[in-house]
Amino acid sequence: MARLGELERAVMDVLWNTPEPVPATHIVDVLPREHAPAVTTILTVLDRLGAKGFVTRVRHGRAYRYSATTSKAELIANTMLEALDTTSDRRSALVHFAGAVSEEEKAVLRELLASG
Amino acid sequence: MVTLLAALSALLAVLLAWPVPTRLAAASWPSRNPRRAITLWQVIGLSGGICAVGSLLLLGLDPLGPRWTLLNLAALAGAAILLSWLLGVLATNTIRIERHLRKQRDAVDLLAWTDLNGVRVLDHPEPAAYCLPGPRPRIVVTHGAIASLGPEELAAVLAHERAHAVGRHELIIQPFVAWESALPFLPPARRATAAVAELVEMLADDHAARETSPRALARALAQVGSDRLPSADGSAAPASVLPRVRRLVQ
Repeated sequence: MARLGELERAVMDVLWNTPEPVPATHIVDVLPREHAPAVTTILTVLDRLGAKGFVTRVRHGRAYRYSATTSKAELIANTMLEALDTTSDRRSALVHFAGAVSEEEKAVLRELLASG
Repeated sequence: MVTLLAALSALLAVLLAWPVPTRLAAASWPSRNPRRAITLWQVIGLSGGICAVGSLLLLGLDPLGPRWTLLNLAALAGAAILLSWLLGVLATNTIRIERHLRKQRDAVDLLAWTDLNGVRVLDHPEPAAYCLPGPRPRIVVTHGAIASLGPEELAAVLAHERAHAVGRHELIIQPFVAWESALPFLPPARRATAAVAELVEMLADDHAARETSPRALARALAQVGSDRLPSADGSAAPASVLPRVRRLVQ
């Protein structure tokens, strides 16, 4: 299972670094030696990533070409935004570390931490 | 006789739904014993539900006259409906949250690299640390957090998140969140959820303070708290860190 995760990451790295949609065969060619998977494996991985919403595909002749749905930076930003969303529905889903600090509170905090 | 019990049960349900939670939310002892306070909240919530369903059930099972009437039937139906509704709200909420968590897990597994301690690091400038709870939890921290915290403070933050993960705190909070969203007209439900969420943070704070030091954790809270920008859409601000820092430092 860990290997599958590694493969998913490797495939996404290829897609994130390629501006235009590519066929699965191209991904197989470009992947680093240590993965060396079959095209069928890559197609399965692409399907899984598609189901999770990270990859889309367009028909090109008789084959498909694949691309990432968002850039890596955008995906990270969106993930973070959702993770730190504190609307009540999701409050129990994630427990995150910090609260907010207002300007007045900053001064009080400084005092509290300075003493002792 | 049974009707009397039903009435008492209903009275108890009302007490447990309003004045009792209001009193507890205003008390000051919970911050000194968060674990006990959490248990008390859970008892209040559970008994309130049992009394509400129970009063309808009792009313349904006691013929007020010589024969059973439509009232009995209605009461029994009411008990069944209330129970299914309470359980249904919990189930729907659980499913929705699990879907959300799965999306988060998939993204983190794809985007983050894993350090020696199994912590997932995200390449993001804003300092943040959080836990994706569940049977196989993930603790996530950003580059921004690592950059803005000293080693002791970072250790405190990670210890805090680990406490949430290992303690399965999401299981404590989730029922309260579920029933609060189903009872928006009941202010005590909101207060209960807020109180339990705060207490769970205190549990994790205590654990982290024991593992590192109260001051390191307090400094980390102050640091990560000040770096956070208010949410763009003006949604309800997360709870202030000030009471938690005070509690750690005194």
